[in-house]
Amino acid sequence: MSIKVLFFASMADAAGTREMSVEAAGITDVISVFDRCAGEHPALESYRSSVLLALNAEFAQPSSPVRDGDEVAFFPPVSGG
Amino acid sequence: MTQSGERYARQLALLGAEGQEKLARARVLVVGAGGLGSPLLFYLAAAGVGTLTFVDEDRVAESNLNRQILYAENDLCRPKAGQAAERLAALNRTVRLTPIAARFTGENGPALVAGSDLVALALDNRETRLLANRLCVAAGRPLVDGGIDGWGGYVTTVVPGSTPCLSCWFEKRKPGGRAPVSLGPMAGVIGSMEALAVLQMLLGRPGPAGRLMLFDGSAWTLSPLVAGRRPDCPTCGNRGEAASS
Ligand SMILES: [Zn+2]
Repeated sequence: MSIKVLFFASMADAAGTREMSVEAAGITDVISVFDRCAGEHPALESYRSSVLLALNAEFAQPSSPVRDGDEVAFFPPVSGG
Repeated sequence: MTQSGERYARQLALLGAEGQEKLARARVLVVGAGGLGSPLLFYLAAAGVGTLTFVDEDRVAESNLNRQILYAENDLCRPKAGQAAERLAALNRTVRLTPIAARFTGENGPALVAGSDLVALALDNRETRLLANRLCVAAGRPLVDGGIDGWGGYVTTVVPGSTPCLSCWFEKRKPGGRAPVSLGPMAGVIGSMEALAVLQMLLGRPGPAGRLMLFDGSAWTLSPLVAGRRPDCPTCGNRGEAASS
């Protein structure tokens, strides 16, 4: 089984895709999903401390626990106007 | 020259005379009159919001003109607040306009927030957003916020004591490092969504209250993110339902 990952806006450009799936083995929390994705797509790394996190469409923290079959979404920080 | 009922004819069926009267009585503070503030102020004035106070310390620069549709080439180097007031007065002379050519700070902010029924943010930085958020939570004023960068944008409404505040949403995450990238229509979409959220809150409708609405202009999606208030929020944590404790 696996975890579905969604990338939004500029993070989809950085990842080169809007969606990927990661193996659930070794995944404990939201930030470990990010680690896995950034390992595959290094351009994501610059978003590490600013990315907004969602777990199953709910706002999440880096330490929010992730289970097999969950959906994790990453949104870039957006503070312009 | 006369102010006939025609001005609001197309929206009266939606709002009713009572709703229109609510807008006419409302006092809205808009912080920032740039990319987001342009469509936001335009639509609030056009809709008949009775009192609009807006704060911006900047002067019109050529690099503003790709998105800041309140301004034209003739306005270059002039203070935005004054130019915005001229443009909005030309659109709807029944609106009471108070332009303030200054920075929104901890000094002038509390009185500005206290003198309004609702605050809408059209800012380009996280710090001033969090400052306005603190003042709104302390004063119990609803707050509409939006932001853009590249293909991404968001809108949310904060109702102090009931929904997450901007600190709940953002304070644990760092703002983006580089200068934001701003394509005109992205500012138009998000600024217009903010105007919609403001009008709805004034009419007693929740709009996006309690949800962080994330717009992806590349994928053409609008995704709601939900959350509860953070109990450990430095701004609204441990506040009662009426935000009075
Ligand atoms: Zn809060």
